[in-house]
Amino acid sequence: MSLVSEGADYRGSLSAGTGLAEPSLATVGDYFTLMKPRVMSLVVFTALVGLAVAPGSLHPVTAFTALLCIAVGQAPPARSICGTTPMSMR
Amino acid sequence: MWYDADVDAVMTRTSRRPVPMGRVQPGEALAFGLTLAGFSVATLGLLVNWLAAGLLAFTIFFYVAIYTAWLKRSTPQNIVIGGAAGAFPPMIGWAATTGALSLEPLLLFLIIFFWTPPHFWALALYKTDDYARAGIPMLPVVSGDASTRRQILLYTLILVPLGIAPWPLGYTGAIYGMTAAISGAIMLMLGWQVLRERPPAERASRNLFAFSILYLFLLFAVLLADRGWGGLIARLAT
Repeated sequence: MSLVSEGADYRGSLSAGTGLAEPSLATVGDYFTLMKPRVMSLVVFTALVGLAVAPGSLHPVTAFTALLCIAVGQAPPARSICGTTPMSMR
Repeated sequence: MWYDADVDAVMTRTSRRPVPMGRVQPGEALAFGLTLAGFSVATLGLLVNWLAAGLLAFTIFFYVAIYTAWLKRSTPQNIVIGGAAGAFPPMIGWAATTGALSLEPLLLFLIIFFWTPPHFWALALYKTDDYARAGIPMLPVVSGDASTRRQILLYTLILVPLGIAPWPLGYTGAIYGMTAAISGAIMLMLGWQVLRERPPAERASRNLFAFSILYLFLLFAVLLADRGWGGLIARLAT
């Protein structure tokens, strides 16, 4: 209980301190890091298996598009997550 | 990420991420995330089908609203329920191909769902201080070390039969069945060693964490080789 409220207090002070209007120093590499590429490999792989094992056929281009959408949609920024996601440990 | 920048900043494992480092502003990360989520769901719906798109949208919503913003900070079962989000990808892939769902994609979902807690708690056992400092109620922080070790073995006992299940159900062949049985036996052995390990030691926990990744990869790789490979090649040929 107390642990949780401490976390909330900390968050409050952080957001107050970062309400800046100026643009950040972010590079393309920083945005790529936000995608947590190594985490995503297992997500994309399990999605590929589901897609390939399922009966029926999908045009390769459609299949590729589907995997890309799943990868991007499952990527950490889309979920706004931090580190405590499974498979995100590296 | 954006919501968790405070926690990321105090955990050694995540303190070098772009948002806690101050290299990407929290608002920028949020805008980036919302854009990615919107475009990926819309594209999947328009180009593939809306069942897959709906599942993807639900996964994103589930993760952001239920897991990150609520469960992760409020219950030690956070990983169990949050793991559902990580278990959805094979189901979305299945839905993309068939436009429908059945028992088999549900089984793939359940395998990842029951794999997540032992995988993650094994890590939490030797990163307990980190989670305690960040105020995250991870199981070892809240319920203690011994209870976590018992629950790891309990979830592994559910996971291993589920991992073998596609074989007796006739979804795949004996090569998959043997792989799932042997690697499952190793998972159980490592889970047993974790149960017997006492805190300053962390070798068994590290071993289980590392092997759990290989275990999940093996199951899906052999399933693909056994079931999907022919279909994939036929698709590329047409």
